[in-house]
Amino acid sequence: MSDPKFQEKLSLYREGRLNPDEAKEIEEEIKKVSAILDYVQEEEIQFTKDLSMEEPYISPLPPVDPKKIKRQINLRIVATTALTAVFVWMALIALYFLGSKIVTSLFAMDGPDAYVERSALTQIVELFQPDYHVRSSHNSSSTYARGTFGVGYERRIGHNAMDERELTIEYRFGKPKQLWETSYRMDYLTLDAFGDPSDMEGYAEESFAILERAPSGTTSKVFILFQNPLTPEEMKAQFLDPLYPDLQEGLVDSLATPLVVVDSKLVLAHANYYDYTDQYPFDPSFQEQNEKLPGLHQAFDAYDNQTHTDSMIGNLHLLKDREALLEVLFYKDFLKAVDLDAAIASLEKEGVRYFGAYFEADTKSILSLQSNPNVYSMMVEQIVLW
Amino acid sequence: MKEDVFEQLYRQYHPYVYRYLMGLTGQHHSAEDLTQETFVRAFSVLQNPRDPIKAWLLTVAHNLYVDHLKKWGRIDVRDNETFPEHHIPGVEADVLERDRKKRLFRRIQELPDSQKQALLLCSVNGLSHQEAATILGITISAVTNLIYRARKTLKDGRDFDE
Repeated sequence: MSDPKFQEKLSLYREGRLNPDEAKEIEEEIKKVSAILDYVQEEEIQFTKDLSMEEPYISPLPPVDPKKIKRQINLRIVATTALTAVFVWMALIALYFLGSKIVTSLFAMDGPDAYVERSALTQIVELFQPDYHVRSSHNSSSTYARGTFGVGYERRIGHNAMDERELTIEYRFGKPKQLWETSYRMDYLTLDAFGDPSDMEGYAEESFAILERAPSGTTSKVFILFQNPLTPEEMKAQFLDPLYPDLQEGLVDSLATPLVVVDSKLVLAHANYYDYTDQYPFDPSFQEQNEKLPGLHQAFDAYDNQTHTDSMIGNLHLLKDREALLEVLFYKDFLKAVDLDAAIASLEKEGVRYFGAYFEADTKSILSLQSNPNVYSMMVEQIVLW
Repeated sequence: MKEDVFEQLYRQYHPYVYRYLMGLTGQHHSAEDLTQETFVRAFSVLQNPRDPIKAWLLTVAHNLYVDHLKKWGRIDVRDNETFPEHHIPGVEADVLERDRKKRLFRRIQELPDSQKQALLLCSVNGLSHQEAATILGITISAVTNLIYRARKTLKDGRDFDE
């Protein structure tokens, strides 16, 4: 059949171009081939039939009860589903933490930034809470670039903690977002809170009378409103030196808190700006600044006019740079209500002046201020035994 | 009580799967175990098979057999298990028939794996060459070739016996 001559003749036969003898010859061949094909096909069918009916291919025993198989299938489905659920759960957890790690590494504050932010929050609390001092601060990080910064602050007189407060701020993606109030909201002071100075006349006499009646050896905390705003050097000469004649340098800071009016409205305590760290202190580039700090602290403790002015200007710049933090602490557009630029310009021109101060001292030594003409008014905050 | 769909499918397709696995393993117990596992595995997967059910089940069976081979190696065929001796006294024709089947089965067992698989899928289980090619992962012409060679080997062996 693969003979080329036969193939050629077959083609001619299909086209009807063979003579009758040749056509007959081809038809005979076709009959033979058909018979062979039939034979092969028959044999194939028989072989297949035989094979499929062979004994080994028919199970000698009836198949297992389908119900048993079905139970196995159900068990397998339950097991597979449970395993899949566990796997998906683990994969989701892994994904959650991996995502968190990526997001945190991209958007969260790194260690040095967090250090500076924590220092800024501490300084702001000191500025806005004149009769409190920061006791501790902390920060922690959480998943997905979240974290918290917290400050614990207290009003302490002598050895007695009169009040303790704590504020915590949640940060997301390196920005302050929400204030958590664990005690009560930190407030800011305005000049109005200190009343009309004309209404405070006579308060000094009453307050001194209270102190006179108080037992010796007690410690008092008083707020003194000055007759006229005083420069740091004037305040030191007229108030600090009489009150703390024997006190070592550096400790006055914790006993006297001078107050400044900013933009004729906002009252801030003057916390030492050089206690605040505006740069990670272990960064080599901070070395020069680090070397200057002891001298600046010394000058601040000595109530040097220029150092105090520079310190207050530094504090106002710190507030300007922390608008988002102040908005979370107080309210939106807080800084828009206060013209810090004007306040800074005024400080640069006239230097810092204090309109009053909190003092903590031996009760009887405060009586030595009775003859001080710059005591316009005085209020006794608290008297404690020790 | 009316049979559910699974039971119907199981009864309908059990013989095909068993035949294929019996042909491959040559042991009733292995074939039956693998058949059960084929059904469990096939119906544990919550999906609609793309192939006809028979081809799909035979695909699962084939993969199970391949795994079985990897795990346990080639199976040793024991004649006495394959052909349990049912004693039928006085029926000589049956004995001769059993002997013929035994020889054919042994010859099939001796075929190379690929020829055996192609032969069992197409000639015993009636799959098309196309379906067998899909299951075995080879071309249709390769299946045709394997079956041709398998049949030739079996035929030569039969002629030799005769």
